Amino acid sequence: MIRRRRTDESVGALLRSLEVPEHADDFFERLGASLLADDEIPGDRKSDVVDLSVRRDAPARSKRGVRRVMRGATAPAAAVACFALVVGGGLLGRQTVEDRRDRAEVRQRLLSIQPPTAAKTGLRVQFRHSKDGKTVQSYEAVISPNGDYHVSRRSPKLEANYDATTGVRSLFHAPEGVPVLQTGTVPPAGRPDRPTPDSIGLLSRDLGAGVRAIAAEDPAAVSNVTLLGRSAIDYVSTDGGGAYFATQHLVIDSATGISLVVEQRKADGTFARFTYVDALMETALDAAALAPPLPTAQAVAEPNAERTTDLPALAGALAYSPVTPRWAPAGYRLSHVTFAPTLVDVDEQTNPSSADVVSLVYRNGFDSFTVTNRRAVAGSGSARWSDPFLQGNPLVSSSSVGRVAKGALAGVDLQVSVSAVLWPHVWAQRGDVVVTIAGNLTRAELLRVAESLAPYRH
Amino acid sequence: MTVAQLRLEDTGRDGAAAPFVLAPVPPAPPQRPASDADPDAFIAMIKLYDRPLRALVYRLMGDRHVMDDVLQDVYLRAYRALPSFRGEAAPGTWLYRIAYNVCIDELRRRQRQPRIPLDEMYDEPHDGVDPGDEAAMRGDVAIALEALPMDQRAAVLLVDVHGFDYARAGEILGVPAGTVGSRVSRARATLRESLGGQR
Repeated sequence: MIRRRRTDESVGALLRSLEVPEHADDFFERLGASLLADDEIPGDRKSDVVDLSVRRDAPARSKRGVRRVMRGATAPAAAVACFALVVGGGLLGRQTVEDRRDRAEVRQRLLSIQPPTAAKTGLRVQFRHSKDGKTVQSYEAVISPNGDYHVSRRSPKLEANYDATTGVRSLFHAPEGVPVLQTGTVPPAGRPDRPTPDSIGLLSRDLGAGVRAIAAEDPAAVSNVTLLGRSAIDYVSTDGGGAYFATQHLVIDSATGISLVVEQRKADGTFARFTYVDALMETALDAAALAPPLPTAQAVAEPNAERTTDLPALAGALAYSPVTPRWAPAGYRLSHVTFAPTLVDVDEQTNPSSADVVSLVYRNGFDSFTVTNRRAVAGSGSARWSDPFLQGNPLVSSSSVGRVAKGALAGVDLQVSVSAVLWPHVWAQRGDVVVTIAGNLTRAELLRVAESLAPYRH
Repeated sequence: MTVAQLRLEDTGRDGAAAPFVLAPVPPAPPQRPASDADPDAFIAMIKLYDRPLRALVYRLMGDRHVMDDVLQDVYLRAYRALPSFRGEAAPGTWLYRIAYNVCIDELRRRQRQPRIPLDEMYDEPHDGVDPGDEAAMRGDVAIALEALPMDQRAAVLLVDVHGFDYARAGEILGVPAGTVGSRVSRARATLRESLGGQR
């Protein structure tokens, strides 16, 4: 009995391991077009053996349904049906317009379902999150060159899609077997202080930015390795200060700064690991894949009410003059500007609340850095600012303080932090205005950007 | 949120919520999945069931191009029928039933209209057997599965792969649960024998 059950189970396991083919590339495009056209069922398969439990009094939704009624009707009944069709034309017309609008929306949404598996320049990755050597969860992600992504987790079932064109992100899961779809807009890249977060949160590059900056300063501190066919940087840090982990072992993709392996070990030997396990960038990777375009919708409602804007639009509206860099490393271009009237993003116990927060995001392929100006709100929280990036966390951030020699911040103390736990960054306070610079920059580049800051003039 | 928490647990250290971090699970919606003005439900259903339906339809039809054609039909029918879906069955059961019936339709149609096998019309390599025992075994079970009668194949797939109990599989196949049980039993026995297992 036991033997037989085992055999059945092994056969079942084999059946479950069978390949599941992907759709053709244009599957959902075709489906959307069919829905929009409200055409006949493709091909000549018109059999209606499917019992769809359609109510007898359900309104006809298509010409096809009407035709089916007409075919089976007697002559008088057909005449009545024709009359009803003419008299009811207005109503039918309205239904058609609404129906088509629905279908157009569905069609648009369908296009985002299909993982861009065939994208020649896309990125396919598999991630694994493990604790003490045991896999906790694993994910698969496909990212198209324009920044669309599809992330899936098999168990528990979870799917996430992001449409970079519209900025709409959908999260799909099925608690208790009932499908739930949550949609919403993604805050535009360029949150205060931090550089552009990728639309896909898995592709974290803050630690990589730190490691690359460390490598630039002290090449002997890192090892150059090859992982998954990629040139990578291997670095072990103790910057966690022991509070969260004793050591953090990082393997960073050299070209993109993506963390390929993050392994955090505690003093008691337990460890957690986040790693790319397969098919990393199996195809040529377009920089645009990790620097997706901003949503076209300019107003994005988020808790902090941050939105994209441009500096001329802000001119005169701010109670202070923001500073902007006059220098950036080669290749960087201003990508966009975000603005939030108020923010409580920073730990109020540590720092005052912010107002008139302006972030300028510069991009160069995969890399980006952000210059943020904010005005401290008097009377809120602490009177003095501390590092906005630490937010009260007891992390060790190798920081140093120097005085800016040139530019708008001349004479102001500047705190510089380069470590493998936070984005490389500098920050300074000039009066009630706090300025931060952070991103894929080396210490020298951070300082040079800081020295180039000048008041913005419209 | 600190760096001590790995990315998959990170709800937004950088302020941007990770796409896969679940918010508190919202109350389960009613079983009725959609209305005329609810394309979300249609999209959600496709997202949930597309992969398992691909798995089922491909194994029933044996060709990925036919699989796509069938699923085009399935989704169109489902979309058209959603407004009248009364939630008497679970959405998944309902969708599977449509898929199974479309497969039956298609098989009957193909029997009436003999045609050149699609595999011969395309240059793409047929799904081959990968090297290695596990892959070879998968190839064997795929072949053995393909050799099963359609009703047994569907039953064993629904129960052993898709996790339906006999009652729900019966709803999909349009047969009593007992019939599903006997079909599954026969299918498993054939598969075990084909794979060299014990009867």
